[in-house]
Amino acid sequence: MRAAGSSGIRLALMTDNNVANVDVKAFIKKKLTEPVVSEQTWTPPLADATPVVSAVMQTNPNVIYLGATSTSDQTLVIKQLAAQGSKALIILGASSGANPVLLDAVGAKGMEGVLVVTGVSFPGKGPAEIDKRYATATGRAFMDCEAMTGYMNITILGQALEKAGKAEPEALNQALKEMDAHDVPSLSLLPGGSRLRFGANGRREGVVVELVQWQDGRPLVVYPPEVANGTLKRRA
Amino acid sequence: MKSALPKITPAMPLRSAVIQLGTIAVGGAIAIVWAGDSPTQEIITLALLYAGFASAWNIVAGYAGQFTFGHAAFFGLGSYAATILTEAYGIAPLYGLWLGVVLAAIAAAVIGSITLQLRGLYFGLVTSVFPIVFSVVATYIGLQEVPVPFNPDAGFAFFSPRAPWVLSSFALGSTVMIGVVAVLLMRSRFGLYISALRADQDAAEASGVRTTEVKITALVVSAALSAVIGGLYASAALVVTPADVFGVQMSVKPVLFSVFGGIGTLLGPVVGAVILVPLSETLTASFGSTLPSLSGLVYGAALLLVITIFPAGLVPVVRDATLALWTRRGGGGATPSTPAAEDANEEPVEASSAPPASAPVILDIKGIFKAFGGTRVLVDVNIQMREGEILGVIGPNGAGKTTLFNVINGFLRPDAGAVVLLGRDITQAKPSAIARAGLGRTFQTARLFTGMSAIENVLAAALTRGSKDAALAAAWRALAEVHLTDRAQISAGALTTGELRRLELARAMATAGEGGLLMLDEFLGGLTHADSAVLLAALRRWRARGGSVLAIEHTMRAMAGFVDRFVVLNFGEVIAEGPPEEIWRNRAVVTAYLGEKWVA
Amino acid sequence: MYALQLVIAGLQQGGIIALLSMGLALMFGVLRLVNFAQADFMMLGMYGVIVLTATLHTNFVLSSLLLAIPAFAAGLFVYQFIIRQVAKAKLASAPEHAQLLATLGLSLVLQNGAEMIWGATPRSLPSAQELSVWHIGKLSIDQPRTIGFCIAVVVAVTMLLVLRNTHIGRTVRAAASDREAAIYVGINVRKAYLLTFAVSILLSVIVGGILVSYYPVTPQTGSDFILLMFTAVIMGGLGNVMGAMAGGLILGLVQSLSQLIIPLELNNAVVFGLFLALMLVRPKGIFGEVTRL
Repeated sequence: MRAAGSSGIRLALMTDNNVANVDVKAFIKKKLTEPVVSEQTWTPPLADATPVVSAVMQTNPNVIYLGATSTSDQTLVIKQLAAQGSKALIILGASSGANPVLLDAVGAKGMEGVLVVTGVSFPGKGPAEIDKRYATATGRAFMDCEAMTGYMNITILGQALEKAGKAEPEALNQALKEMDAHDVPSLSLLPGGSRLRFGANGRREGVVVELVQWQDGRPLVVYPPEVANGTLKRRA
Repeated sequence: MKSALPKITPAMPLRSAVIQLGTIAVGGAIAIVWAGDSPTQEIITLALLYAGFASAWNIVAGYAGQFTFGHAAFFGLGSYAATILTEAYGIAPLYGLWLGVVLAAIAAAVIGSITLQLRGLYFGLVTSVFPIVFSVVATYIGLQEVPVPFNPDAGFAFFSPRAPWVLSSFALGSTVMIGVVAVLLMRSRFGLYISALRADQDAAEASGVRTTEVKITALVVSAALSAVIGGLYASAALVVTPADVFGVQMSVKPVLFSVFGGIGTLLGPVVGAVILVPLSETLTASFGSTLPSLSGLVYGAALLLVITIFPAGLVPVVRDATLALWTRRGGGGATPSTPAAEDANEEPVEASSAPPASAPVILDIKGIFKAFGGTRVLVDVNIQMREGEILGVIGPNGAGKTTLFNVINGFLRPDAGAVVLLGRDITQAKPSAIARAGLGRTFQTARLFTGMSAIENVLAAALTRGSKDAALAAAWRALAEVHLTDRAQISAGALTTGELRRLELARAMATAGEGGLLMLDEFLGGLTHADSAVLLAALRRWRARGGSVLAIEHTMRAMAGFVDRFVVLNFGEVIAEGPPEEIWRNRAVVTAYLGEKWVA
Repeated sequence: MYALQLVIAGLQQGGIIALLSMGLALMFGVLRLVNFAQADFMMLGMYGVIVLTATLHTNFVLSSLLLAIPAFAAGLFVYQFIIRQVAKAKLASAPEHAQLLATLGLSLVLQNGAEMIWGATPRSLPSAQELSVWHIGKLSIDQPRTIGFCIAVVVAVTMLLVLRNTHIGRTVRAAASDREAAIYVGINVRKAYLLTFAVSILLSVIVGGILVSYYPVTPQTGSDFILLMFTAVIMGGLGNVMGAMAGGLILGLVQSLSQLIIPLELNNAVVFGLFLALMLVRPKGIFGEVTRL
């Protein structure tokens, strides 16, 4: 454990051992100069978060990166952190961290101030109209990331299929590779994304990460500014 | 001699096995050709893979009766080995999966050795833990997701991804291969051992079958075959994750398909998989969007229905129904021939006299002590038996007679003392080793290998003594001794009580071998006069040929004219011993049986 | 202090596993039946409490009590129409496994049926959002878990007292220790079996009611618990109800305390590794395979 840096950040890493979380953790440790005061890794699901949270609380962190895949683990850890009197800023490393399910389980008070890092845009400025349609159709409070990615994937594939002109894997693949779209309606769901293009390695170009913060039981986009519908609040 | 022996109908006739496996091969090939490049081919691949996996599980669970709920452990090793070798070294999965086979075999040998003292439910539950441990460890060492490297133009050994029929053909080939292995196994000497193990582990062990070895071998074979399927499965799933290949669902699948189709049959596991997998996949494809968990529901409901309605499974039910129809039409003539009436009067065998005192000692029981918890069951028991002797051990209920037998034949270890059989100290030996040393026994209530024919019951024991030809001859001779030759092909389950007792004696004789020692636990109880006569005559001839007999009864009367000498046990102690007429007059014996007041 | 915190967490978790395992052990002791679906009834109990609490606007204790009646009825139904049917027509090649396979099928039906009804996303009780903790020094003690633990203890003790001291309890124990003898002395063994099965199911559902007060439920929640339950039962000696209780508590403690020395990731491997080691040394469990009720 390194001594606290000049920024005063004392970071704790709490993740399950899902591949994505393990990779993100390795990346954080490589990039960050701030001290990591505690690191806990578990095999999901947790039956009880008390032990793992107790271990973290021993080191008195003020920022906690929580990389948990299952809602049940997220719930248990967030509640247990509060129970043990943590005032640390919680950063959830999964889009599912902004799902209504989590709100049901932890409550608006419990989720207040929790930050979520996501590659999918939450209903900030852009997709408000889709969000409203979704809410009326399903009766849910807002569109979650599973619904958004599903919707997005289908519209992108639809566009590509139309371009390809035939339902053949090769042609579709080619169409996707050549895609440089501005007018796919669901594109507004992508952070900062009015343009969709795939690079040579098949990955999307120009990806922007979005930060969402739970405020009064709603996930508000606080970064990047062009789609933000809220401002970052520090925890009281 | 050999040619004079009647033919045995084996449990798995070659012709029927070839027809069944041929049907699978041809049916599978037609389906593969028909599906071509369509998505249906993937369903066929999956169905065939599970058919193979279930068939492999069936070897240890169905044939050997050792239910495991953890076969995903072996399956997963196959998947991981094949995929990791491809990913890290570019080795084609067709070759890489053999590493998985080796690993699975080793794992099975270790798991088998750890769990060999466990039986039935315990064995099943404990085996279910291993895949969980494997899964946790795989995750811990960073194998949460191992993708099968995607190269659509890879060749045959990579199962040519552009031609989905290649993988399904390999799946079909493996399934048929597993069937062939099962047939070869069950038609060998090992097959009889396996069947005996399934029917009654103790009786098999007492008949000379090394049950732990048989168990582990069956598990190893089954595990290795499962790993082959696991290796192929990786190429169908495209990514290997612990939750999938080591998951509980994966352990449940072979159980499910085998039970549905008919556990312990060659065709059953395959039929189960090729019905249920496409059914569940098709239903999911049609209704999956509205009813997301339909596939699991179908599997669960299928299992429940089969177990409550026709627990033997689909294949046996259909087979029996077809047979019944056939018989009713009068086509088959499947009515069993009525057994010849048993001779009520056995030709008298001269009651040969007791062996001379100079005859060598065959069994020497030296100072045996045995207690269960605080209860002392055997206290300093010393008994010597001479070759050719017929010795009766009598005593009231609870005197420790059966415990003594269990100590002698190795089911129980004495707390102190030694047992010497034919000059060999067998105190610490396994029951199967003691049996092979020349000891055959019967049980208080006959314990035969049900599901096997009479001759197979005896043959399984005889095979532990030598070559197949010699064993066959010995088995037929033993059956003739107890007048069961004409019932040889009847399943043990269909015999009468008297016949069962006679069959058990024949098996004990085949176990001990000529000149060996027979231990009989209340063998005359509840028998008709005719059956008793057959047994006693067979035993007299046994002794005339140089064999010895140690028999338990709780009354003297039944054996008075038969034994040379009695040993009387009471509360675990030898209270009297001597020729019958002497014991009759012994005060201690009368007291033990009737209480103090009758003695005067 | 940290270790003490872990001990408390271990006991709280262990209490739940203990109560669950007792039902399983009772069932095995009396009926010689291993029930794979036992934990799935707990899962149903969790959903049941959520539904009842929402529709009747009550709390989870009252909902759990209300749920006891349908739970008992479900137990009677399952025994009468599934378990007994299977007992009648036994699987030729593995008679002892027929009932177990039936419960395996039942487990699949319950899990997937629940998913069809309630979906795969986790559900929680609204009241479970409340953060209620007692602080004693640096220790923080979770209130719902502690209350749950206390209820578990009360239920467990009540069950043991009923088994020991009532006529019904004696009937059940007689049927467990010697079926034949029980029939001879005129005990209605079938009734005892039926009752035992229903009570075991009831226990699972009650545990579900306790658990849902702080733990989110998914259709697979049962399968997260079932292996732990089997482990506790086998550790305590199959069929030994007291042993199962001890086994459950030990398991909870081991799960919690093992992270002092072994990486948390290997938590389950530690639990099952311990179990396998125990099987090697004492295959009949710590307390022996006697039907001690």
